[in-house]
Amino acid sequence: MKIIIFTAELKAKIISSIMRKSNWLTQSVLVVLVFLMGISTLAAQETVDAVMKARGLSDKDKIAAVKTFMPRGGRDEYFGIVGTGNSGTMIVYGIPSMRIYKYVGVFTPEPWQGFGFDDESSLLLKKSNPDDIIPTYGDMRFPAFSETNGKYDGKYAFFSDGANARIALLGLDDFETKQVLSNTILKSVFPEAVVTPNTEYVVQSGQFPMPWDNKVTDMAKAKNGITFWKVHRIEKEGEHKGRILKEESFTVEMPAYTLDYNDIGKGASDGMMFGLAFNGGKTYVYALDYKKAAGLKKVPTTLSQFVPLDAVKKAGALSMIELPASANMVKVSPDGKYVVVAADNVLTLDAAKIKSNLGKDVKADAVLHKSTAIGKGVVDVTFDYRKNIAYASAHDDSKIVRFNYVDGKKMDEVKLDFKPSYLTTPQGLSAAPHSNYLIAVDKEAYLKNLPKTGPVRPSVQHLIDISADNEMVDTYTMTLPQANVYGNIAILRTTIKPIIRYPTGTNSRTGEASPFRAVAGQEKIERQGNRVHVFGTLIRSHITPEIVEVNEGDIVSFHLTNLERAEDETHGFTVDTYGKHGSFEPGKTASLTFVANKAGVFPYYCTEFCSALHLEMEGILLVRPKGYKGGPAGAVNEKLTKEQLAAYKKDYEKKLKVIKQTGDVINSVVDYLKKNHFEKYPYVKALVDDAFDQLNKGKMAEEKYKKYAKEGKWKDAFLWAEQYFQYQVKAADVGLRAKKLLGEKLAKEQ
Amino acid sequence: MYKNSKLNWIMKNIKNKSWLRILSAAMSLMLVALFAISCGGNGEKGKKGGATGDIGAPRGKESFQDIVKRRGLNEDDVLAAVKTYTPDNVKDEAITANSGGQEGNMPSYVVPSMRMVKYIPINTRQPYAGYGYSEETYNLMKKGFIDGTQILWGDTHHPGFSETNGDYNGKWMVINDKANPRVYVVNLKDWYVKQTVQNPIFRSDHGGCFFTPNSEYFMEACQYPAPFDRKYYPLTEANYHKYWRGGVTYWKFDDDKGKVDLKNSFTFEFPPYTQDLSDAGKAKSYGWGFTNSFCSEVYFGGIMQGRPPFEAGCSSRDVDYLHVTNWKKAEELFKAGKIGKKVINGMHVITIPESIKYGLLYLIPEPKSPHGVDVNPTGEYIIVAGKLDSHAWVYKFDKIMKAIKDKNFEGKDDYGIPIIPLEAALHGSVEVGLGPLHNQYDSRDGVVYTSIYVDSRVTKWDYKNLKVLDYVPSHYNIGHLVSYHGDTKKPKGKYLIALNKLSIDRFNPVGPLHPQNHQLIDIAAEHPKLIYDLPLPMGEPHYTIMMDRNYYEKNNLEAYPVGTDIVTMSKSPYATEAGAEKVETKGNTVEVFGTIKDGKVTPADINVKQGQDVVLHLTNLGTTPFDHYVYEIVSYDKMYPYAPGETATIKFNAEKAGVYPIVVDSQNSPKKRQLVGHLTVSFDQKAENDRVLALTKRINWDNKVQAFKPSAIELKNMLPGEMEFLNYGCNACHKFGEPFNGPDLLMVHKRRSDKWLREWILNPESKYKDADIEALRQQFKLAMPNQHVDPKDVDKLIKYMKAKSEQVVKEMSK
Repeated sequence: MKIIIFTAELKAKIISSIMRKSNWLTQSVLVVLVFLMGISTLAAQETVDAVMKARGLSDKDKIAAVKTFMPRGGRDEYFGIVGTGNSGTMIVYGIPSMRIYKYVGVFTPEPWQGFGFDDESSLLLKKSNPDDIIPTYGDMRFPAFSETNGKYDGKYAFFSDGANARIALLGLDDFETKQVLSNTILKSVFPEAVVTPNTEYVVQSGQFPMPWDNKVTDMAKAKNGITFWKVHRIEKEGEHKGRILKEESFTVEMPAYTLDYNDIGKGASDGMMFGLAFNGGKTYVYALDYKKAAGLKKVPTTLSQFVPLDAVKKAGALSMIELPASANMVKVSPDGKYVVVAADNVLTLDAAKIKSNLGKDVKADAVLHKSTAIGKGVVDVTFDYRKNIAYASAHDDSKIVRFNYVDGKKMDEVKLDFKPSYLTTPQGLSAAPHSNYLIAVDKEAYLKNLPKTGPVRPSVQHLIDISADNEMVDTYTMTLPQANVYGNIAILRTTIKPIIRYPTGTNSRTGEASPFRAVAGQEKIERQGNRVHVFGTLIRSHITPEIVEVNEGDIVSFHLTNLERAEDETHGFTVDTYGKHGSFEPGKTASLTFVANKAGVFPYYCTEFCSALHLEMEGILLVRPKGYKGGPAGAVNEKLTKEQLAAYKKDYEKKLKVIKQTGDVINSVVDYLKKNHFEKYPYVKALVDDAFDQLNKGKMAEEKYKKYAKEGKWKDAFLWAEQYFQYQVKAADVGLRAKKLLGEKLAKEQ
Repeated sequence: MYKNSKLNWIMKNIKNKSWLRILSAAMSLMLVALFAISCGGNGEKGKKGGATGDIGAPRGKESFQDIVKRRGLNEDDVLAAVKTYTPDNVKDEAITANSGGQEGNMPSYVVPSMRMVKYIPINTRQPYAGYGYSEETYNLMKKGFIDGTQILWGDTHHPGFSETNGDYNGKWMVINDKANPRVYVVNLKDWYVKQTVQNPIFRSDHGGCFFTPNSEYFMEACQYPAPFDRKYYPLTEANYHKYWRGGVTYWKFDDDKGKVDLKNSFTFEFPPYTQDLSDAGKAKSYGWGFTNSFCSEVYFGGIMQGRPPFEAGCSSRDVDYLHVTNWKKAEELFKAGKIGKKVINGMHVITIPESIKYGLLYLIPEPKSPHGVDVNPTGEYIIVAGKLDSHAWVYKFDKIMKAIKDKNFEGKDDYGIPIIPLEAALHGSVEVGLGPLHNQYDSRDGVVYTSIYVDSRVTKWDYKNLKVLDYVPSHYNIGHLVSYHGDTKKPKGKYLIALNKLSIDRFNPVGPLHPQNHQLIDIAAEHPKLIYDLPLPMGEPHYTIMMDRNYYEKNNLEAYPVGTDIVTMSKSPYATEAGAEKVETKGNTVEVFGTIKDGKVTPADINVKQGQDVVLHLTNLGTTPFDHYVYEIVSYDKMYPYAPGETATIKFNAEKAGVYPIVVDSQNSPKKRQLVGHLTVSFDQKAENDRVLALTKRINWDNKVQAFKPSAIELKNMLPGEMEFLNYGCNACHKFGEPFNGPDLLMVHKRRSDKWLREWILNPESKYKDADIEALRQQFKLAMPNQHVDPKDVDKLIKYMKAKSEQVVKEMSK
């Protein structure tokens, strides 16, 4: 790293000279540049050793620090996702920085995203429930990614709701929940989703056996089952329109045992499903040939269909394999040849032997390939890139063991300061697991070094470095607030290709054009009886319409479209005290419907800090009381005196000068961008496009102020000139960002 | 309009030097700068930080140098890494409390490791903490239901820590909701909400909550003006001036009990300017409060009415007004019964004439569209940054007092409030950059940091000597910023956090909705250094406060005394001891007093009749931090996570018949949910009828408001008419192949003519007296309710019944 000879003092001097009286836009451009030149001068006066000593860090800590620290703008290698248990949301985080990127509402309403607060998602949740009520929470623990040929394809994620027996499909194009469906047969489902190797089905197992009919309370009539939700996939780049089809889904009836964790066969065991079952103090692994079951005659119910247990047995599609001891987890090896059962002695079952015994109930010995003694309280196993290698967590022994599940040999183990439970390696549940990272959940979640925040603590998981062949190192302790975590899954970052905006007017829940979309200039308020539809638009920094007047008791819908094309230009919307909220990412259309049952004056506003003037992005809903006799809003434009008019004329002329100056600065920024070929850099180009968009929008205001000036309407001329200036400011804001970014990119190239 | 001469005066105060000379110097330096950056490299080296060799293959053991090279770290990155990495044996130093914005809660992360540790639920139900899931916590939320509207979210904006003698006392935290003007008190013993208070005269607020130095009061300022009496007035300019009002509420606070006292609180009536943030004076300026405003133009937009939008009219003047209030004097007069006698919806209002009469309220011009107003640690200076003025303006409290004493006013505003001339109050102004928003103080005397929104940076400057000291870039569009104890009398320096609104190009992409970006800046050294980028994964923090853990941690609770109602923080009347569990049935209510011990629930089973009310009081007898148990009634949407020692009540109507698993999840152990018992609801015909009718009502309402439409793929795979069958709720009573709450619909089209079906669906009442229908009514104990089917949908329903019947018959004959 070369260090330029600028001293900080010199830099400050230059900056302060620039800051002296001049055009403020020019100043800021220059100051940014001067600042950038200074970055490299801030070279280390402090040393790493001194900081380590002061903070009490060891050399091991230093290595862990550089393994996980993410330099500015860096990208994590993997996305991890984890369900938050009874919180009913999904967490998306990055590996190895272990920073959380997003919470996504799945089964529980979440107002930031408008999930369960705008019409589209509220109806999605309501119609997921047989009682037509939005359930208040969900319980989701073991998620699944969609697969193609047994490998993650980065299109969808699935969750099963153990609380209210639902299944959810999320699109990884925009990280939104697209579909939530109620399991109309099983009342109690295991909070785990698994998929078949080409995502033909997402599979949801029952958990506790229950009578299927609500009128029956006799537990002797309890049944259980496994639901195969049919997934119909239609997708192209950035458009994940695949959905679960209830009509082609079915449930396979199972013995009335408690069903638990399960996995789907692949490769050698394609077409099979394996899971844990408990009954009468005994533990079983069931093996189900679901392809065979799918071909059997189904008994229709009104909203679904099922294959009776008798038929499954008769077809020889099910085996119950009795285990010698209780077990916690079943996972199919990446090649599909083995079924690995997590217990204190990990059992490696041979899928071929299971297949040849299919239809018969056998003891584990009949299908056992190998047994490996691991330790006490084994909770989970997972696989990595290394051939035939698995990792097992021995909870009560506070250790993780690396072993070969085919020859039963233990390789090495790591002793930990916590009790590990659920384990994840990147892509570990797919046919092609990766290596280097292992994530271990610490359910006790009691960290002494964290500032305390009362009895409710965050969940905790650790990042363990498994890149070396003979060493595993506990590297980072991650906290997850508002989450009761269990199983993670992780996917290579580049497999997911998220979009940054929607085609304008999209209902994000269906991925289709919303019938309620509005385009700029065609905003309108429609009334049919007491039903009022507002078709409006959102753009930096105003909501159109800005004034809406209705009668008490009217049912009012605000259908709003975010007209922005720029990345990260999200707007939010709410009407004060009416309880609704929507999040409008660029291009999205959503609706908020409520009954205007309170008369009065209700400000509405954009809830996102969307621009410097976000506070001015506001409007007023006026609700006339029942029986109100006065007319509608009076003439809002007052008459001006001659003096007032003259003052506005002066203001207008002053504003024109400012507009001219600002325009000059913008032009100089544009020159710089053009000269340096901004169009070669996509991020910069997107910003520049946005800056031009802003200027183009200003044209309408420009026409208006010119027109009003001609007519001598100086107040209007002044205000529209002010509006034009606001567009200039927005263009400059984005332009400066583009310039800064371009500077960085150019610097990097040199 | 504000006079130009005033601006000229300010300009004169800024030293003028030859601009051209500097410009040419700067231009020539630009080239050097570009070269310098290329060597320094603050770019995106981490982007490459992928796997070596085959993607996903084990990397083998790496040395420190290997890792630094592989991940493309530079010297500054390594320093930043060791400054923030916090292993389990090293303590994090400080904790932050953020407003979560439209997510309705308060995110909290620790410093310097920047790990998220908590979302404190405020306005939004949160199942993990149980907020809104027990009767106790739901009733607390209910107190915030304005005019009876069920409001299950909020837009939290500005948190404040309680103070003693101008420094945090580690006891309480308050926060406001901008969308629905309410304030909330959080106890720092358990970081949980204890009180909800509605502001009965505002329609929205923004500039809350700012404590006075001994937590006598905290300030909550209005945002969008509206009539205080909450009545309707036609929107005209005359009415807007006459009825619309802003204000600032001084909420009386009991710092021992952590209670807001409405009766002893008061609100200053302000003109309908749009008030924004506030700050309470301290030390020298103790007894005073400062509230700024924008849109002092008193403008309202109306794009569709031909008026330019709010954003144009609200920023057309050159200055806005800083409101200066004397709360100490107001308190005396209020206690003496001289002012504040006007009570609106229970709130005492100090009217504008009262304020003028007693000298309680003054205005001072402030930079255009200001955001932050921040009193310095000694209380002598007040800094205001206006986002449309590139200067930060420093006011001197002594000067303000002198102007008031000398009655040095330049006039009055339209509402009669005296205006102190800018030059009389101003210490000076400094050009800090484009779009300055908020100011936070350093431990160094005279040093302040200002967030610069448009330039995306922090300016470090000296507010006494009025000069810029340094700049720190941020990414992008910084809003608020926070320094360590930065709003107290004793700022600690060391850390500064930039709250950036945009995170373009900073993190792994996660769809159109981006996280926010909080950047930790090390300000201990002479030149501040950015050391960590933290994505804020949910919500949009507006303001953050940061406290040393030693200030509050000694009082922290890890478990409650057994039997605690966590809202009142006292023994619950429903606390139950082991062995004293019981079930009482009174009338239609079954009341259970139970316990949870080591994950076992007593009593385990609940047996009720459909339609009965169930009131379930459970006490968690656990006493260790590991005794967290989530109690769930599966498929009944009932759940509560019992903290150790807590007593809480789950209340519901057993509307649905059937048997349902009761499970308990030991949150701190890897055991999966354990089945502990069953809720058995025996079928009752009348209750089932009630349920069906209630469901019908909901479905009819939905159809009236907005019809559900699934995506095209789902629709394509439905039988024709199936969507209508579901939307009209026919499935609540009818199945194909067996009778349910109503007759079996299999082959119904063979038993009834289309014409008959059409009449029956559209107008069932017309056939109730027919003999065959009467017989069915006797059998099913329920008459088909009118589903208000749209006549154009009737044929679709009939078509569906035919198609579904055929499908069922076909499947059965396989």
